[in-house]
Amino acid sequence: MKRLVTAVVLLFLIVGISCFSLFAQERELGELNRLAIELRQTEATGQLEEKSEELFRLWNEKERLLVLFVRHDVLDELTVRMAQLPSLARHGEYGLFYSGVDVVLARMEDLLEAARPTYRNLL
Amino acid sequence: MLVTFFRTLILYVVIVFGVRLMGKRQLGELQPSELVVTILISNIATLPIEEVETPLFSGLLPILSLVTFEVIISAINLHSRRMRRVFSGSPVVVIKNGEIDQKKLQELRFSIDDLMAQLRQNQIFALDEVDFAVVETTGKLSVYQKYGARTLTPKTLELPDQPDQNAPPLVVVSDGYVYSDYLALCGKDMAWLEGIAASRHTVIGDIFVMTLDRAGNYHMVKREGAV
Repeated sequence: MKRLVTAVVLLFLIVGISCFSLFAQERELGELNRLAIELRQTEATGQLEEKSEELFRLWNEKERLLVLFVRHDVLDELTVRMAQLPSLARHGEYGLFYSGVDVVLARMEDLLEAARPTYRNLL
Repeated sequence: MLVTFFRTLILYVVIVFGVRLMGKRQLGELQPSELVVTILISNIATLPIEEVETPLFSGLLPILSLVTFEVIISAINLHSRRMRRVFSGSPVVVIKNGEIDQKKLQELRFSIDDLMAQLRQNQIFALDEVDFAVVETTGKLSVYQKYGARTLTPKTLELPDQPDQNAPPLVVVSDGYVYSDYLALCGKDMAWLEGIAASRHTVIGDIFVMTLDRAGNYHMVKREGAV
């Protein structure tokens, strides 16, 4: 009976952690996503460098939690992409800059999509 | 490298905890579901150990999930015969009244060589000695021998029962540590133990091992180097 109780408690804990991981990813990546979309819509003459630096700073904050649930190589790739953005903006490489933001947006959307228990992910 | 070491340590602790949670039954003969869980756990555990890129939670979560499923399913199986049959199957009689049921053997994909091998593992070398044999859900063969082939027992010889002989010797002292539960089970106490130790010119702390049965028969081995 003690074993069964432990197992049930553990099961609830596992489900809780799984739900929390999904919630945390939705929240953290959602916030980053909004900032990245804003950056994508900012014109080349706007404050691209400041905003991309802000995105990178925010990413570094959020990554601390994401590292618990997301494969580290995927996070590393996003870190590299975001680290490049301020420099691209500074040197006027707008084509590369916007394509970089697109890659970041797509990867973050992929991460969110992969975390959701949809039938596509389950099958 | 240190990361891998700590991750391995964490996974080791979690897996040991998981196996303990599944219970002692798991360590003996594996039921089909237990075999599946064991194989899966060993496979899953290697991933986060080998790949530092994988979050540890990705390894811990499925391992603990499998363990909890196994415990919950075995609890359900305990109360439901139907579920037990689904998850563990049923024992199958392959030899009945000394006759091999070839159809059942085929259904189990059990060759005659497999059957003979299992019989030999049961110390039976002649088929005509077997009256009844069942393939258990664990895949092991249980055999009931014909009367003439059975081992001679005191019951067969109609000898009077000796209850004192039914109690096995238990380890009451190991490396100087006293197992008071076993001591009480044998109807003795610390005073008796100390008396026995004193009569052998030693102290309990110097006893390497001591076994005792309910009849009071004991066997003591002193620690090497003890006076």
